[in-house]
Amino acid sequence: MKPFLLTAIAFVALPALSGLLPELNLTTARLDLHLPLIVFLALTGTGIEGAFGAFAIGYLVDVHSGHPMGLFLSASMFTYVLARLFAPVVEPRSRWSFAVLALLFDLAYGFFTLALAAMSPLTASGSASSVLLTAPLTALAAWLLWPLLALIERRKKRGERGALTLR
Amino acid sequence: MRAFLKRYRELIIVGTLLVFPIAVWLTHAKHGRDLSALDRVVLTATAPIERAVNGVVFAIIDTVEDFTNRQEVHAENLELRRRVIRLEGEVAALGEVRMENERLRQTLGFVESAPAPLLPARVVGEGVSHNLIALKIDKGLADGLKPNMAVLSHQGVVGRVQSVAHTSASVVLVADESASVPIRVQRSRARGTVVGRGPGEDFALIRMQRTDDIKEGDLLVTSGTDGIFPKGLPVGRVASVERPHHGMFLSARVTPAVDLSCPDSLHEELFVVTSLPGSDESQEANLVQEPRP
Repeated sequence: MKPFLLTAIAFVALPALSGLLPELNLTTARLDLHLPLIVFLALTGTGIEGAFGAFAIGYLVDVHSGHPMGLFLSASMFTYVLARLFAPVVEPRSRWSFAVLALLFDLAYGFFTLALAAMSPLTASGSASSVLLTAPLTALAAWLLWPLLALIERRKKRGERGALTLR
Repeated sequence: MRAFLKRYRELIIVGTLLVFPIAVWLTHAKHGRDLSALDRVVLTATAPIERAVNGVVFAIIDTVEDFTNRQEVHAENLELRRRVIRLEGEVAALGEVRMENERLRQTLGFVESAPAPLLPARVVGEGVSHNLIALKIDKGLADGLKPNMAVLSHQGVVGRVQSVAHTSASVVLVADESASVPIRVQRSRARGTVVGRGPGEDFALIRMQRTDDIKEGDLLVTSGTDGIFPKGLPVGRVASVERPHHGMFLSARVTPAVDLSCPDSLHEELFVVTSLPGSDESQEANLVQEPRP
């Protein structure tokens, strides 16, 4: 249920961001709005469902990038796997810790994307500075999204609580 | 085999989901790819959201810009109004200065060509009696004023000094019914007397023989025979002449040279003739006196 909800959020949020970006006038940096969702899935979700959720979100990013060649889908899945590796030792418990985690994983996402993009003549390779500028904006997005994500997590846990239920 | 797949199911699926897009990327990185049917469906489905958000953002920006523009226009409007008010004030002040300049030029010309020494005086009040049309001026005994001194403006005869206090004097205007001024017709030199007929009324011309040469538009000037007014000062212009079939005298209506019914014309500079030409006191007169403290 959680991956589905997060994919739905991405389904609405990404075109919304796409409609908003021309007015934000962000020439160097971009806002990786999907990344907090992927990180949240990786750190709190179950493995297979989370992986499919991350895949779906990555696919949406790729489609909305204007150049769907698998670049952002690959980077999203890479970030998901990386976050999954840290999941046993890292748990976001507050807004600020989640924002910091989103910032760190967005740096990894950004540099991985740079590395992949360098292989293609069709994609602008970008720059390290744009990655460094994007990461704080993504952290801000994570900070803003946290209440919604925490609400989804609480509802999930309430649904899972206890095997016996009163009828 | 099944046990292996079951045990590493998550790893295999996640690995596949990671490797597959990288493989797709590596395949299409050099040459690119067209949108797939699924891509088009996703883009079509999300396009309304994109348009809606963009529309809302545009609407907000338009509203903010509109509000900002209104604020700017309002501020500019206020500033322009302030400037208009200030400029109108300046224009009015310039008009006032121009008129004052014109009046002072006329006054200067009048003073320079005056037939007798003149003492400038200002009107400081008006007489309160209904029977006497009088003004109060700011000069008196201390300035050498005496009763029956002539009072003029640059346009002509105004009146004569009636009573004198230490620092002020009362002036009876020519328009008063008790006032009379001996005159000559400037053109024909015919003689007569102008008398006042009350406030706002034209003067009356009397004691002019029926056969004398006078007509409408003639300028009447003081004859100087009364020992009050120097000769040659404008008194008025003939407005109408009536010559009766019988009797010695004609009658005429005279428009005053100085508009005595208009307070503004009297509240400018007036001049008191402190001595007549040829009199012994002429040496006492000063055209310009030091103002009293």
